[in-house]
Amino acid sequence: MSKWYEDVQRQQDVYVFTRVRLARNIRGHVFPGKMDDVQAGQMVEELRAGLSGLGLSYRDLSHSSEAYRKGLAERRILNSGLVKRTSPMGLFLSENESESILLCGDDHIRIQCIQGGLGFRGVWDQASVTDDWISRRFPYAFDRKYGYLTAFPTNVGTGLRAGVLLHLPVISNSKQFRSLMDEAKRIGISIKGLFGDPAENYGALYYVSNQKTLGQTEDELIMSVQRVAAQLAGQERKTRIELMKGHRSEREDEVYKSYGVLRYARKLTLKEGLVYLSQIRSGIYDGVIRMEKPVSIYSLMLGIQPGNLQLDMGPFEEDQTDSMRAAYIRERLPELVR
Amino acid sequence: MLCEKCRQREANIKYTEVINGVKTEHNLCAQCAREMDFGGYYAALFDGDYSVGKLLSSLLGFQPDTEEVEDDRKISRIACPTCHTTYSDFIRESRFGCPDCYSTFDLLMGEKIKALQGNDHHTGKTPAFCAGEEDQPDETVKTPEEQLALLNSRLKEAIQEEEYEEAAKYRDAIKELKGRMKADV
Repeated sequence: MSKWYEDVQRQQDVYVFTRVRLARNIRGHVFPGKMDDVQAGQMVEELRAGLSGLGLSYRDLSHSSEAYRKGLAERRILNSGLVKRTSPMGLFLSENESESILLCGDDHIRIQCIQGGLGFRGVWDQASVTDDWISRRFPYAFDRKYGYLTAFPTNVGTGLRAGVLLHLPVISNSKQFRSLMDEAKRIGISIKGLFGDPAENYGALYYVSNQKTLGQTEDELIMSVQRVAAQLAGQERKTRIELMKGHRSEREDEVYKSYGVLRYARKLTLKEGLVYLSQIRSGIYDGVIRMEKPVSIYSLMLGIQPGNLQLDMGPFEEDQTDSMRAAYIRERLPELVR
Repeated sequence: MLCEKCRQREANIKYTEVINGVKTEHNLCAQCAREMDFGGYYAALFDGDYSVGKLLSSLLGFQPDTEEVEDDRKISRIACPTCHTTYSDFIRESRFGCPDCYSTFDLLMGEKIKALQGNDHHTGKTPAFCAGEEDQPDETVKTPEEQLALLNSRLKEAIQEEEYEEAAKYRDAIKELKGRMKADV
């Protein structure tokens, strides 16, 4: 079965994916950060047994390789801070990886639902149903004032992080973009570059999510994220149409050059890979180039990350990474329709 | 406003005392407030003269300098009875140790959580198990730790609603309970 990120049908020009995550803890137990390995092991086992009825496949993360955990982090299933953690952790994962439940990460339970394109209704309903199912089996740590109690006070209340990943290659280059990010922060919305350091975000992917979790209902939080995302998406689309009108030949040149490099390069750094794939992605949606068969560019962007590349093409030595990355893309990038 | 006791330093603590139903307000600096020692519980709050800015900076991921960490050592007297996370542990890691930390540190943290989140009352969904238990009396709580957490949250509520007589009652009950807990150990 293909993974949700390989499915190109659901993705849209600007909207790459929609995700919700719920942080939950069990009453009467300290948070995972305060547990020793024995306590954490017991908690993971108890939760594993209790949640097996959900029909997701289970994996003991403390016995999985670091490369596997790194891959999970790159695919947004595991918090990157937990990649090197050695204490007991468990993971329930659906076959297409759209639904996951992490046991004993930062909180006892983290439920995550993710799908391609824009679609909060679907992911929220799915996460909420799973949440209700679990709450009938395990008593959640819940306070009438503070809501769902979480290890970090930045998650308390709803425990909800709702986010959309946007591909913004054009407006992210504008001078106003940074002030827009600051503006969003003031209304409780965070806009963060997905890959690379904050100053230079390769691939022009931006994750828009709620910063605050307390005092608003889940629907209100989701709506505020969706509104900001819609504004950004609208702006990106408008600017791209204008760009295509005035500078079509320059756009074509950039996109075809990028395709040429990806098609024939023998070595590619992560930065190069992401930058050229980003060009191809907007080129496809802007009608500049057509592939012989549809391909999820986001899936390739995930595939060339160090962890996932090791899982797919490895094992290989670190100095081989750039060659492996180039080979990975060559094998998967379809021919162009001439 | 200057501290009413030393008349030298800025008064940054407002203390409301209720004795036999008579309410008196005091405006004190952190040092005098600590010296007056209105019951160990409050004195511990004033220790270290912590500032809102410091806590928030810590919550937002800035590292406090080491001197400040030294200063905070005194506040470590306030610890969660369930998981033993101290207030300075919280400052350092910006995370709680267990669900009970929320009631333990409510007095210290309530305002900061509000500043961080823009709100301090949950309005979203409630767990399925909770809905049926809505009207159960809180008196089912049994362990001293649970009683303490409950008293702490009631004290906080009373202060918020400016019910100072009630607050004094809870403060005394907390003091008594803590004394008993110490004696038991």
